[in-house]
Amino acid sequence: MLIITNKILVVLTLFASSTLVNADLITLEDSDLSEVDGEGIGLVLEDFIYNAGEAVNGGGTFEINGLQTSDDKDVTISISQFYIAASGSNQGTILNPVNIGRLNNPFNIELRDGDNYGVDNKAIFEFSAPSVANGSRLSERPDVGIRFDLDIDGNPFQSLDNHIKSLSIDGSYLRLWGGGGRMEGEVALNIYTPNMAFFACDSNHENCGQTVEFRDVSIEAKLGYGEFQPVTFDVSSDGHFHFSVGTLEGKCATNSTGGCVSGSDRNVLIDFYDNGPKTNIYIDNVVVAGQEFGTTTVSNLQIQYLDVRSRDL
Amino acid sequence: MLNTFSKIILFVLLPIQFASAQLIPIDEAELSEMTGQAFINLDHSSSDGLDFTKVSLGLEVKTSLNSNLLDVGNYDNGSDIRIKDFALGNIESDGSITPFEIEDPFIELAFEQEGVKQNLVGVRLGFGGAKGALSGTIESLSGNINVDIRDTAAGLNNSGSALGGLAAVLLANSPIETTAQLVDSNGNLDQTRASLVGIPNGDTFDIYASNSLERIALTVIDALPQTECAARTWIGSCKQLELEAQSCEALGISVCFDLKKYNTLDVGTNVVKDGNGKVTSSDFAEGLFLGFQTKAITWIDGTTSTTATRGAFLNVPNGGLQVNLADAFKGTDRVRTRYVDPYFSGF
Repeated sequence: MLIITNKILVVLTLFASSTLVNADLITLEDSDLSEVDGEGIGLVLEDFIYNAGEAVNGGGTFEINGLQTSDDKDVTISISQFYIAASGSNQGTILNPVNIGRLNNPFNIELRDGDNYGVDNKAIFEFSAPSVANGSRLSERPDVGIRFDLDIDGNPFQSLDNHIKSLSIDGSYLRLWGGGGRMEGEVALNIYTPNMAFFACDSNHENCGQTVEFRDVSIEAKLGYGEFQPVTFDVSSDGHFHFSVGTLEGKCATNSTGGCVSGSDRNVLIDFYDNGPKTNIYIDNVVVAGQEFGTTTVSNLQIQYLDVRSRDL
Repeated sequence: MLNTFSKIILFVLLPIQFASAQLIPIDEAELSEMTGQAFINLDHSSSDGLDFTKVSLGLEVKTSLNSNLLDVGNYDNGSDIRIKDFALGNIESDGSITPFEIEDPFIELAFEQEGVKQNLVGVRLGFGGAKGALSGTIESLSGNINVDIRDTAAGLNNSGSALGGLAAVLLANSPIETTAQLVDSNGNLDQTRASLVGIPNGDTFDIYASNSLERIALTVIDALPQTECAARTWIGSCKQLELEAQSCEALGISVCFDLKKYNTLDVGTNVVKDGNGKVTSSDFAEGLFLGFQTKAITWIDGTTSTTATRGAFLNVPNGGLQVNLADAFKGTDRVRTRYVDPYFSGF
């Protein structure tokens, strides 16, 4: 059963007019690009509830199957509940509508002038969450949760719950552009929540055990730095994916120990280390079954090279 | 009058009026052709009164990264794991990046049955294999970080002890083998918030004679306290001598070392270095993981089991780190991890 209640406030007139115009695709001149000023489509989800899954009013099934254990037993993962609702949902049991974004600080789909983002002479597509500076109010931060049911070799086995309270992704964005015959981009993912909880129950979602909690979580992750260090993602013909963050190798002439020699290229690297993309993670308290294990911090993590490829196990 | 942005949107949307297609469901036959599911593996097992659920991902990861601080489990005025200027991978003298490599990461959950409830008592992030340079100033470490020391006795010349220097001369080519672990300042095994790595009380330095002169030397040294000949020739001379460590000393040689001296550790097995200390080849080490548990939990990797203590726990499997005696006594220099590196005078 799927219940979606939403009212999307969007500038839809552009879509309506799309059938009325007739024009060729033309190359944008620099002068045109210079006029790209950040106007775009603002998205606000008002009175929004999403609640779906097998456990919702006998609703439909969402299953991932075809998985196996290492000793070749079939594994099925089904989603018995996935919800997005107003804060205070008590782990998905009290579902009230929430406004996600607001008119003066919405989610945005925009075209940006690449010259301002280290991508010369190109337009950048950007999808961004509300800004941090004008951050989401408490009433605009939804509770989000998901419950997986595991079935191994035909036997219901376990239910795993994950609940995130009052989630904000303010400041997150995805920027895409074309380069080198492929799509390139950079991404920022911010996650702020006062509580993220995990626990397990039996296959009937009863007799739930103790909880692992991450309290006051702040994750600010940035990958990619314009054309200097683009992020790429592609899928090979055999179905496996390839994700990369561009290497810094070859960005400057190096001395006998491998460091940059003085010059403009070195200054670019200094700028990267000072102002380039960084990831910071702070968790104020990790609580496992009521036992407190204090703070966890990862500070100023910078990636100089990342290459991830999937493969069959 | 449309502005530029509106024109762009219109160009993008223009093809809509010419498109003639509709979404259609994928039938079962087509779905059955879908592949890629072998990328994920899910396992359930039981051991030692606990149930384990493990999700493995088929991934090959190569990376070079730096972080100012990795601090895990900071409570009660200390940290379970605290590493400053943490880095994975290194930059070679020719400017090329040698990445840190990871295979098949996994997340594993441990549950304890309490009546009809299953309480989550531990979680770990682990890797099927890992190799490469791990750098940082290790201020505190909870875990299992066995360091294999492999060298010849000539390396004892770095011990700073007169007896060690004499043994280096007498036993120059004799292979030496031992394993250092996290210890306290008295040489007791200490897996919680340790700042020293050394040979625990009762463990031994094993010296193997490579010729008759060295066998004579080992036979003489065998007469000293805290030594024991573990193997003799048919004429009775000693060919394998064990030097027992007690209170961070073995035959007057200090055998406990400050973790901060190990600025770069080469993770991997069968690590081979050239004359300049550059790693020329290595194999993946299994069993590298970071765990979080409310009680001591024995995690199982294949045929190997590792008991992790309460709190955060970093396990580096035996044989995963290998150093020579010079590195053991004097520490290891930090490799270059940035193109503009404060550890290389800002260059």
